[in-house]
Amino acid sequence: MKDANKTNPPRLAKKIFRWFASEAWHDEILGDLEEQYSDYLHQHKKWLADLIFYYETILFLRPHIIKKRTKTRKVMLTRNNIKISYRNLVKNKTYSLINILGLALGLTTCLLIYLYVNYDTSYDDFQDENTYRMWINRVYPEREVNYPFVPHSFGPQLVEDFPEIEAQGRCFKPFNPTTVKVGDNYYIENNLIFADSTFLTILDFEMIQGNRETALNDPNSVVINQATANKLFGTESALGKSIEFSGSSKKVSGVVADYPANSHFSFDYLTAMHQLPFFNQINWVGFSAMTYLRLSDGTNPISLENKFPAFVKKYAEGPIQKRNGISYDEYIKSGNGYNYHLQKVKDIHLKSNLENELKANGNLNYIYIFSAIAIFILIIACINFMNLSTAKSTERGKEVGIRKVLGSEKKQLVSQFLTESIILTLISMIIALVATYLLLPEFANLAERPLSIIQLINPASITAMILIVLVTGLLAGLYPAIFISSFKPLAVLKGKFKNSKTGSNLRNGLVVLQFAISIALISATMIVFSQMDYLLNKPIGFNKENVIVIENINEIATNQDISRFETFKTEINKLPNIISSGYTSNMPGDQVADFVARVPGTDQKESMIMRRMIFDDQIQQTLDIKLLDGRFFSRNFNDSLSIIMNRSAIEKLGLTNPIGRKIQEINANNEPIEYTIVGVVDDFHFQSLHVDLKPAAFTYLNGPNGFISKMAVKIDGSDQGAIQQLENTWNNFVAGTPFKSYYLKTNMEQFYKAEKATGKIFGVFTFLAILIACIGLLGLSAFIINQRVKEIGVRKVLGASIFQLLTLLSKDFVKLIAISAVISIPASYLLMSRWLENFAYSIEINWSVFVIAGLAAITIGITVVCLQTVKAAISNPIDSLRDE
Amino acid sequence: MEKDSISSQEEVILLLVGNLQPNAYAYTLKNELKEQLNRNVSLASIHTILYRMEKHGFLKSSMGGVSSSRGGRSKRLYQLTSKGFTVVAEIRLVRNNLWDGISPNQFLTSF
Repeated sequence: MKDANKTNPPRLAKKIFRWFASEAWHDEILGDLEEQYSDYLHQHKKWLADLIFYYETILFLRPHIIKKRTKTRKVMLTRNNIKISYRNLVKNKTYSLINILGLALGLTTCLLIYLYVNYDTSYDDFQDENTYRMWINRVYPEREVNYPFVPHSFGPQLVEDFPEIEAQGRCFKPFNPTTVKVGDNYYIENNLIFADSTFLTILDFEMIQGNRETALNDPNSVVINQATANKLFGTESALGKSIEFSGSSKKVSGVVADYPANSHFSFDYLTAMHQLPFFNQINWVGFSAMTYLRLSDGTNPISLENKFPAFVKKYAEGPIQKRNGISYDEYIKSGNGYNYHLQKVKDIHLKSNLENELKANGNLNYIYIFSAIAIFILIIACINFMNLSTAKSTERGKEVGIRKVLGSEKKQLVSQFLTESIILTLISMIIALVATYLLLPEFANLAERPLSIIQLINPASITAMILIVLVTGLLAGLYPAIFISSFKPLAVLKGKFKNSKTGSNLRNGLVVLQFAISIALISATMIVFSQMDYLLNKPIGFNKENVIVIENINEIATNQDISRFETFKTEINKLPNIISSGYTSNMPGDQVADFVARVPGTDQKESMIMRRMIFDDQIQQTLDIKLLDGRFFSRNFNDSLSIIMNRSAIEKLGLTNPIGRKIQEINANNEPIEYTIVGVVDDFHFQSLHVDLKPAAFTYLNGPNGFISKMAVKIDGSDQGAIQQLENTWNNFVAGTPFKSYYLKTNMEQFYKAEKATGKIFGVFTFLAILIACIGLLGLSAFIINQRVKEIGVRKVLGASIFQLLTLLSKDFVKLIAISAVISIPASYLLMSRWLENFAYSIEINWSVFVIAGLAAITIGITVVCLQTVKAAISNPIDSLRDE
Repeated sequence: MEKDSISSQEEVILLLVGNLQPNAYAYTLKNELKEQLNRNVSLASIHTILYRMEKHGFLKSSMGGVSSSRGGRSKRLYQLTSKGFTVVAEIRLVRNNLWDGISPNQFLTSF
């Protein structure tokens, strides 16, 4: 045996040759090759002879030797194939419909998700590659914050100090809306941005009128976008027109095309930053301006970043030392840090999550999750397609048998079935495109993104769609094609079907996969919704119901006449339906300023950063904040140097008997202000529940640095008339600035807008996935029942009841669904706990969610199976048994 | 005459077939090419040439001659046809005429 092996040429080479060479040549050429081989064996080592044998064999790849493939192989989509496919589609209308609709549904979902993902990943695609934005990771001993703002003196100094930075541009957006007057019309504008004169050249702006280099040079110039120009001036040219900004008049020096929605940046008005005195002062410490840098070609941003610490120390050391009273190094050593970084403008939307962005950031995780869902749904749809086609194939067994008897080759049959599946996929794709077009407005609304079908019209997307059709068609058609074409003609014509073990294992595996995905989606949707419910209804420490907030309250004090606040309030309180009203600097949900406090007498270094809001004496009752100790601000006391703290602040400061204790406020001027604690309130959530409760301090409105910007009004019941009455009172006091107000509750719900949209999208996809899985189950149960139709007949004859038959037939499916539940529940538990980690306050995942999801899947499954089974179970056994 | 023109490689194969008859098949041809002309040609190229020459009618073939070293496979034995003979003979005639036109002295003086 060993000897024989030794003298025999490699079998693989011969196999290859037989595969490609036409039969007529086999004998003589293999003979020559082997003869040569046996000669070589005498002269060379075996491995060399083998190698030569391979080499010589491969050289026979010549046109006249290669097998002639039959014509059917060359042109798969022959006219006959298409004709037969059409006849089959029409003959099995229900099956074709279910099959096409199922696949179309899957493809539609994929297209919608593709549009969503494509939009989110297209943010700032148009910006210059070399433009970066600075951001800071500010580390405090007890917390960290990431801001997109850096001190405004950094930008120009960086350009001066580092040759690799070509240019810089800064901008700043004030928190409060601005009132704008053109002619006799007033507008309240939320999107006014103060920007450097270089700003129009740093980010990508499309100038319609004006010169981008000079438009923002004059402090009294303003650049507006096209929409604003149309709003303010109609069809007239806006250039050179003047706009009144709370007292000062500015000339329009440029009009810019509306900024693309898929950018982190947006604006209505751009005006020169250097008109604000603050930005002309040196500032190395306070985070004040978004700073964009253009790096020269080939600059490595990381190595530039590495030079920042030295830069920060050089310039900020002095001011930091002055403010904190300890040396810069000591300050850093005590756990503080200013870590400045660069980020590509394109990365801002998806790859960063900084506080106080101009627009809410996207979440890369959702992009991944949605892409995964799209792929899963497409897989489910393909699986269905395969199952349905296979199920249908048993009915075509006779056709296949006859074709085989008449001399059809296996590959002809395969090509027939592949043609059919590709045609079905193509029809599905066309339906899916139409459906996407029709559903897109609704979906865009749900996803809160301006999605458009035009995103699909580009070479990459079109190629992708064609590929999807071909790949899906091939994948979905290949299994049934091979399965059906391997029928033994004799057995098939006799009426027996091959029911291979591997085939049924594969199909069962596919059902398990489908239902695992469906159960995971059902439980994920339920968890998302219950978390939303929790967020919206969690006790937040104050009462947000029936509170109307009036903005721009400063306008009341015409000519700085502060006494008007008092009269306004008295007027408001006189109105019917008004329970109480109070002035404040910020309302829950707003940005809140920092407040650095320390307890005098303790170590000078121990200062703590908390949030500060300024209240009047009636805020507590207006917002229903719970007082734990001491008293609230009151007119009966001089409260200008009184302070109230929340419970976390008192706990973090470690005060056991807080009332009457002194608190020092440390500010940039290094002149500590001393307050006395007069009260302690319970913690309340003045920010979204994504973030933890923060220590907070509240000072009285006539105290140092006191200012107010809003008024909260508590009404009884959500009476629409109340807003009208408030507006009337406002108009009696203020001329010019229009009345602006919002419901506190509505505003707080905005925090969870992104989650709400995600939840809805999740719900839709879950519904689709379940629907598609049901279609699959329908096909599969039809297939299995078809195979067992004789068994059912015999059982019926022997006296089985319909119920017994139903149990018998659904038992297997319930088993499969139970297996899917076992697989998917741990997976979705892990995934959803990770999602819930996004929130500082979240629900516990309740096991009942999974029980419900599993039961739902089983119920849906049984229903679908029963629909099919009942038909088989009530049919007359004679029909199924007579043709033996 | 144009379509019957053949390459020198083909000419050599035809001549070798004539020499090796009745034992002319791909592998013996390959060995002869190596021995007489010191040319290494793959079996595949020889097959291709033989195939082409047979198609032109310069060669004819028959199956035969099983041997154990070939794994018990028969070989395709080639024979020169009269048409094939004419082709190589014509080439020889042309060559001879051309040779006659060259005087060795002429060649030498040109140095």
